[in-house]
Amino acid sequence: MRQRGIVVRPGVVGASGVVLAMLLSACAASGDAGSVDRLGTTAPSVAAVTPVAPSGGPANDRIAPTEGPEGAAGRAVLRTYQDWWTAQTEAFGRSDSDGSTLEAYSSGSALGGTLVNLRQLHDAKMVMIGSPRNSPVVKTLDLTAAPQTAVIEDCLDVTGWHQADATTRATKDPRERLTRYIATVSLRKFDARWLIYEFKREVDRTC
Amino acid sequence: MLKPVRRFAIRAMVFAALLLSPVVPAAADPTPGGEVNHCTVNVICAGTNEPGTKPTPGTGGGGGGGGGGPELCSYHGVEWPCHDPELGWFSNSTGCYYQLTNPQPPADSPDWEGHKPSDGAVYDKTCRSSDGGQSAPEPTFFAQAPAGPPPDNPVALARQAADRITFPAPVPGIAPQGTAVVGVPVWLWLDQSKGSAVPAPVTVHGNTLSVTVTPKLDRVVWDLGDGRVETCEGQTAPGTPYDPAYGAAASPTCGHVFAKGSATLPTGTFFGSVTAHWTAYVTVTGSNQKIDPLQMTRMTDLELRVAEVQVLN
Repeated sequence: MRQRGIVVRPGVVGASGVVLAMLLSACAASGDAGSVDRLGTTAPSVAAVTPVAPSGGPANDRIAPTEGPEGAAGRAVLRTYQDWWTAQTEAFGRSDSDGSTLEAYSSGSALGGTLVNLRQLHDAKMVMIGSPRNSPVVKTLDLTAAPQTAVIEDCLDVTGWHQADATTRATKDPRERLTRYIATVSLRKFDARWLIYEFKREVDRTC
Repeated sequence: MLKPVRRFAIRAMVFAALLLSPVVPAAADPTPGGEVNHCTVNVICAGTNEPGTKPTPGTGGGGGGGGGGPELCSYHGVEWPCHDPELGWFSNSTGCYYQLTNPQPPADSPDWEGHKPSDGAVYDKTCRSSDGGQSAPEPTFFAQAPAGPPPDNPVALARQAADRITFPAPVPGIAPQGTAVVGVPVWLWLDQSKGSAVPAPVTVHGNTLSVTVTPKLDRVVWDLGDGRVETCEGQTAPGTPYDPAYGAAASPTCGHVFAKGSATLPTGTFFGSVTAHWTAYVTVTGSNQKIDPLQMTRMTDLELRVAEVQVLN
C-alpha cells in the first residue's frame, strides 16, 4: 500500500521536508519507498488536491535502497529535485525573473533547457500560472562513482500548470498540450550539493 | 489516491475547465479562431523548443566587465574601439569620440554655448573619418553625456561576485555528542568556529555600476535518518551551540527529539544529512535595477547513534 495524499504548496519549505520524511518512512515500512508527492497548487483554497498517483506499471519496479547511506543520499536527491521544481514554478510565475535561482539546483542541459523556456516565456509576454505536480522516485544511486550520480524517474502532471498572459493572467495554452508523462532525470553531486544536469521528457510514456 | 477511472474523469474535468477558461476575462481575443499560442515552456507541451535557441545566460546587451578583447563600436560599417584612452568614448550615432573637457571651461566661456554649467557639461569631441583620419578635438556642450561606457550587465556582475564567495559546507554541531537518547532533546547547530561562518559580502565594479552580493543563511535542513526532518529557518537557521549549563533543556532555536533508537538497524546508526541553504542578496549601486537573489546549497552527511534508554552506571 503506497501512502500518498499530502500535498504541500511550493514555498512552504519547512513543512515539505517533514512531509517528505513522513512519506518515506511510511513507505519504508511497507517495503516500497523513495518517492514523494508534492507541488500542490498555488491556489490557497485547494488544500487537498489529489496528488499524482502513477498507475503502477513500469514506473516503480526498481527503486534505490531507502535505508543506510544510500537512503540518506536518495532523500537528499529528492529534496534537491523538488526544490528545483519549486524554484522553476516561482521563476516561471514572474515576468521579471532572471532564472538565477535555477542555478542553485541545476547545470548543463537541465539548466540550459529551463533558461530557454524562461526566455521564450518572457519574450512571449507570458508567465506560468498554477503549478505542476509530480511523483519522483530514485531509481539508481551510485555513491562510489566520482562524482556520485543518481537517476530519478518522475511522473510529471502538468495539467494544472498553464501559460498565461503576464498582464491579464488569461490562460494561453498551446495546442500541443501535454498532461502527464514520465521524465528521467540525472543528477550529479558536485561540491557538496546535488545538481540536476539532465531532464529528459518521455512524453510517449504515460503514468 | 486516484483510481484510473476517476483519474480519467478528473482529467476530463480539467480539460473541460480548460475549455471553459479563461479565469480572467480575456480582452478582445478569445481562443476560437484567434491567435495560436506557441509552446514556450516545453515541459507542458510538445512544441518547437529545440536547441539552437539557447540564450546566453543573463540578459544580452552590453558586455559586463572582464574578459575578451576591447569592445568594438561601429559607424557607417567601420569598426572602432568603443573606448580610446586619449579620446574617450565612441558614439555609434555620430562616429565621434567624446570625453569631458578637463578642466571644464569657465562659466563665461563661449564653449558653454550660452548654457549654465549646471545644465550639463562641455565635452571634447573628436570625430573619425573612414580613412582613419580624425578631426581636431572640439569643445561642445551636452546636457547629457553623448557617449559613455557600455551598459553593465548587473546579472553577470552578480554572478562574478558570487563566484568569489566560498559558501561553506555545513559543519554540524550535535549535542549530546556520540550517542543520543530517545526522548531526550538533541541540539542541532552549525559550528561557526569550524568554518560554518557566514561569508563576507563581495563587491564587483563594472563600468558604471557596482554590484554587492551579501550571503545570508536562509535555512538549514536536518535529515536525521529516523524518518524525520527538522528545518530551521531565518533567525533560528544556525541553531544554538549547546553548553553544559543548559542541562537537559531543549534548544531554543533548532533541535530534535528522537522517537526511536538506531540499535536495530544493520549498522546501529541512522544515516542522514544536513543541508545549508544560502541566499545571496544582490544590491546594485548606480542603477535601480532589481536582481533576483542567488541561491546556493551545501550538504554534509550525518551518521547518528541513538540509544533507546539512558545507560546509567
